[in-house]
Amino acid sequence: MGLLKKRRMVWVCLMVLVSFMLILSAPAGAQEKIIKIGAIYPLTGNLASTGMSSKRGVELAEDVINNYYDLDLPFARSRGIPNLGNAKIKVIIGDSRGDPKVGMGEAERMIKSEGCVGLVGAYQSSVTKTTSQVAERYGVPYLNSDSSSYVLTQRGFKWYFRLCPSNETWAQNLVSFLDVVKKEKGAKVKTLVILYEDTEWGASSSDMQKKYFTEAGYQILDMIAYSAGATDVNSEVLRVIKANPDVLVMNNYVTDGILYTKTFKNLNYNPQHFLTWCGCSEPAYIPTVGKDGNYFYSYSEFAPELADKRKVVKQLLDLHRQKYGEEINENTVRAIPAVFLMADAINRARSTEPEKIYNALMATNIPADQLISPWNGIKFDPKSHQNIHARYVIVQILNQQYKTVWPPELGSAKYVWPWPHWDKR
Amino acid sequence: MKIFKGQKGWAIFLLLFSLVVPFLFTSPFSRHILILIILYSILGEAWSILGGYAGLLSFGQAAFFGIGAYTSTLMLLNWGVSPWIGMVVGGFLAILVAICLAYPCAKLQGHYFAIASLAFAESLKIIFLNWKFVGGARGLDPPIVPTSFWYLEFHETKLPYYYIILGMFFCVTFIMHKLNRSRLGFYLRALRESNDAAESLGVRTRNCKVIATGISGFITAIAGTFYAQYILYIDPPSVMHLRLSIEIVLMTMFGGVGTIIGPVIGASFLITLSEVFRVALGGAGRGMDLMIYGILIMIISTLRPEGIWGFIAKKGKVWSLS
Amino acid sequence: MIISGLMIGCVFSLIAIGLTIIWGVMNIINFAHGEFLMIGMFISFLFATYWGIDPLFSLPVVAIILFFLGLITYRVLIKKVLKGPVLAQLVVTFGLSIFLVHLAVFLWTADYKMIQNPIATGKISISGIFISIPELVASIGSLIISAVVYWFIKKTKTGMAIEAISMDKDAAALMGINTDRLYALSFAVGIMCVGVAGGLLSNFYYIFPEVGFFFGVIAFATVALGGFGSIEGAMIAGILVGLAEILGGFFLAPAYKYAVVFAIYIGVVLIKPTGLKGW
Repeated sequence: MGLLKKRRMVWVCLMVLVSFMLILSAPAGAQEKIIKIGAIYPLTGNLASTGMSSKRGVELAEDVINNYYDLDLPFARSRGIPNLGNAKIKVIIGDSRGDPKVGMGEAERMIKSEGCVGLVGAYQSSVTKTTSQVAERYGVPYLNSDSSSYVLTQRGFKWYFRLCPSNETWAQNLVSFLDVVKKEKGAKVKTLVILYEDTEWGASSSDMQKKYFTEAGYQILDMIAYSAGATDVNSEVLRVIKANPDVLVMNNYVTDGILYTKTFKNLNYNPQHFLTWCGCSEPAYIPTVGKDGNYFYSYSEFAPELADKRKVVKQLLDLHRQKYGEEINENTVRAIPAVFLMADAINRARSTEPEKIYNALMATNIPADQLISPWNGIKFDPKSHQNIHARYVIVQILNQQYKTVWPPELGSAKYVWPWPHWDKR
Repeated sequence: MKIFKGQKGWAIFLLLFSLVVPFLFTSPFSRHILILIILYSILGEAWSILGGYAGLLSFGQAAFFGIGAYTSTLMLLNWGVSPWIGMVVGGFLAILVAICLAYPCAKLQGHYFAIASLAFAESLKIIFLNWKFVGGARGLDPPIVPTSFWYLEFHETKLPYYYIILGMFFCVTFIMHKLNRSRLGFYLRALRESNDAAESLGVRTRNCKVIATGISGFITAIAGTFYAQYILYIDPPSVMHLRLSIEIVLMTMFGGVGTIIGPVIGASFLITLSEVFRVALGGAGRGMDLMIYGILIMIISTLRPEGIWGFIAKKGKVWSLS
Repeated sequence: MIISGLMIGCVFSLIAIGLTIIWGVMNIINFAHGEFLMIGMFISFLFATYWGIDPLFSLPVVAIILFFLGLITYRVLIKKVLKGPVLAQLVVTFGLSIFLVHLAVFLWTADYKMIQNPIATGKISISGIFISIPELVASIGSLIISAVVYWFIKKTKTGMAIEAISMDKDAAALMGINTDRLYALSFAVGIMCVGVAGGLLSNFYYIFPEVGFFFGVIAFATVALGGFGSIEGAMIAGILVGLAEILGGFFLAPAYKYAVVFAIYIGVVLIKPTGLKGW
């Protein structure tokens, strides 16, 4: 092939690729009666399994809103958004790949090219930082129901709203729980070690825990950071054993959680108790560690026991089982409220104009019994846009199931304290 | 070392094209992709100084990138210093770090140097992850100020970002061009072919390697500052990760090592491909987009191991010989 | 603690040996090495979950499957780029690693999996020191395979031919050694090693598509530390790395444990630029 032809071939390929890009990123054409909401999640990468669960959540919400279901879930008994002539919503799902700059690109694409009127996502606080920045820049509402870094609500953003509690709330919840335990069981807890994963989330969570535990008078013997992708955690656990705290507070993800559980067992480490955060609540944890997971405390943003107290929770559980043939998991639940609230705000605003949606959001005041999450309601602080009624529940794994043990009004199970020794089971 | 020798027409065409292209693609997303392409091209050029000219495979470029990003951001956050100044400071810090890396490691052969650069960059990342002063794992958020050239932040449109990075790219290209013809360039190519032969001819190989690493580090760090001001959030996984270093190597290899246009072609192809597939298939989340991406890379590199430009240039050479 | 370090070090050694054979002989930087580890783990998992075969018993099958995967990869990919610049091989193996990771996501989803109830489970106690049985099995298994490979390279005619090629390719070809066939063989053996390591790890480690990345990076550092192309070097380096990781983590801070490994690498290589036992 001659040189000229070869060169042409390469340029042609480039042109083709470039035109692909053009087509895919061209601004959306005339709007039909579809309201687009963008959802950005890590569908590939280390957190892909969480991302996929979240994806399912937003798809489920979309389905409930757009179609008729005889349920008490928001917009179930209507098709689409009632006050906008039953316009349907469409959730456009994008992959953040767990990378803040990819998330940023996706956010821009969704707002400018796809014409999304609002965004939800992105689970990872570092990605949420950049995606919400984009929303802020273009003046589009951003509803976050699954990122917990407390920093996110401290930026003074107008368009960012967080429905879920932050890791600051978690630290406060932990302190409250320990108070209850000390009172009811007479436990003597004075010293702690805080173990955390070296990610943004792990670090900011541990900051909050240090702050609130120290304020409450506990002595923090050591703060141990570890690498999230570690091949083994022997040295970390040995350090903890050396420090010998009453209680070990952990901020870990599921893979580390699994490794730690096995290592604790191998090294026969038995403190007064473990308070973990995140990892042990992931759906993969119990199936993988089996009965070794029993008795760990963890958090949840979803209390299945609520099904007995709130109709909507039971209905959601049933619906999910029906559609997907398996039990709903916590990550799916976390993604849902943002979509529902977005639809609700648009409905109350009777418009897709950003300012009107903003006003509707600021005026939000949803009571607890309409929520699938264990919060006391949804109402945003006027300055920080944090949902002031958000909170976590503390669960304990008993008989390989999550049982809510705190707060007392939601908790059903009798919790076990102190930690039963490994070799005494 | 082929640049557009005698193909001045192509060079001018590309120059003009790059100046007007953001007006062909006006959506912010497309411009975002263009900016990324040029950013990676710069990183690829910087890498080429080491990998292409000197034959020193560096897998540690992310270290310099991070140093640039962190230096300017820290200076901005703590003392309100403009990122432009921070950029230069970051660049010089990178040179210092480069000397620390290159001086002892200069005597290492190819593979060992590669792993040493990797080890160095990863260690630096681990240090940054745990260093409170730089924010550790929480990362740093450059302050969001109203649009300002002095503070390198633009909010209404991406155009200024694009032209700034394009300008940086032209500067880098100019530097590469000068380097190509300079004595240092000759020395580097000589020592790539054979370190011993070069030494015996009086080339101070160690010094050359150190200088090359310094230049490479400087350029990479400057790009890091730009990134910090563009994305407005940095943390060790996003600016100091091994994956970044690998991506830089990959794009340059793919496009053709040791040429000025190579990294540009590599970045253009790979970034566009990756984005296109992600947009088209990524939402499904079964990793299909990246699977296809991987397959394509494998196909193209097995069919054309010299990289895309190498493939063109090779035939070109044959053509001009006959 | 030291024992744990030694044990995980043995597994690192095995992975590194696989890599050093490929790298030393063919001068190919196999970016996809970690991904073959992942495949070994997944195959082991599949056998355990769908056919109830314990990972220990499926190990030989894993070895064979990965051997053939190595052969196929060589024929389809590696052979084509051997002629090109060294750096092109990087790109191919890199593309391969991306492909494999996402193939795994596609086939088996990104969820974390673990083998339930393997035979090798629990711990034993020797004079008060707890040793985890799965880790013990993994390390003994790694040692055995490493020994076998070592014997193969050093003592058999084919093995020696492979070593000859890695020393001087052209001279070896002149002596009538069929370089192509032996390349294929070494590549396959290298992949088999890492696949077996995967099978052993699956006894106690969690399995997911991206698991290969970190082990791969450590493997590279290990191989370089031991010296490219040297099996004894890889073995010693692997154990060193395992020890460094655990001791560094305990005495310094767990967050820095990999920094310690890297620091040791740089330290050693500055003193001896070709690694511990490389040439």
